[in-house]
Amino acid sequence: MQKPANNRDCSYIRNHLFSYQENKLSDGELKTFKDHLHGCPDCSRILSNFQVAISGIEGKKSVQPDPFIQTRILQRVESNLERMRSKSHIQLLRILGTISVSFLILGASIIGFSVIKQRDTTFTESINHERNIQAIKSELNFPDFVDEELPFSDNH
Amino acid sequence: MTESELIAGLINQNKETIQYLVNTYQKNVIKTAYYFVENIEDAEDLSQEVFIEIIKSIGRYKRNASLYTWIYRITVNKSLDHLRRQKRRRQIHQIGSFFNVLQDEGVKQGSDPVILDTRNDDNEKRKVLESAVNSLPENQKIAFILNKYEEMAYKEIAEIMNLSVSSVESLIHRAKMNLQKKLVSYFSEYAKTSK
Repeated sequence: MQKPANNRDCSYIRNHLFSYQENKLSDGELKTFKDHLHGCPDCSRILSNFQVAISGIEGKKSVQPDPFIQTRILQRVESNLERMRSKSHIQLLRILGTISVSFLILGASIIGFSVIKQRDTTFTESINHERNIQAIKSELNFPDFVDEELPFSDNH
Repeated sequence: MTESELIAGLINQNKETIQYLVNTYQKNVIKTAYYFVENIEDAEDLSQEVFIEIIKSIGRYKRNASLYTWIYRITVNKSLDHLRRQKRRRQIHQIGSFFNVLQDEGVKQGSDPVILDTRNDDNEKRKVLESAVNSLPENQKIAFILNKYEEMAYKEIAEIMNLSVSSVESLIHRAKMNLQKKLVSYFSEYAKTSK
């Protein structure tokens, strides 16, 4: 005669569905489990639904990827690497560009400075030259004609 | 090809090595991604991203785990990123639909919502498992999928997840308990409504 199912047994079943499914119940536990199922249609239904749901795991394992996926993956990887390479080329060009512009600015500055220096030197030299002339003139007491009025200018 | 040769070839972006890598790992990568994202086309797209990521970051690969473990780790991370993006898109879509519903409410007032009952189908029961797995906390979900779908040992899962074996064991146990609870609750409700 079947034993009537009680709620305590129901919760036992409902807490051990995975263990039952994975054959992890001891002999005694398995007996309790099976005995309860015989007298409890609700738990039997839950177990059978649980087993259908769990079979979804096996169903998922059988999925097969597209046979041409390898070609697609390789194409995408290749195009991505190409993009990465061209990006790094662009970056290299940018760096080279920046370096050459910096060199140009540096070169221009050096040239500019040397021109200014040259001009300064010429200017200083000409001032010194002028001073020397003035010194010689004053030493010799030589008159400075530039400041004098021309004596015959009024006659014309 | 040894692992060191494979790594050296990938660093040099050698074409034959890349082909070897894709040929060797594509099936596992696609399947793992599929177990997470549940759509084969998405999984195939993700696998392309995974291989690009492998080649890009091979220089950063530390040999304290096997290359295989490292590839799995990238695959799992990419799949989870995809799911997060999908979730965000869904939320945005829901917000959009909420405003549309508010707009249409005036027109459709009084009409009852239609609930499609397709639960009798076995596929629907399998879908219940999928959504129950999806609702698990992230770590439990990863551990459960790698263990039940990929049939990986706890030690391998521990390496991929960077956890101890006992933590993985506990995660899988909790995942099973949670799934059991969700499935039992769904099927009990289902039994009541189909009586």
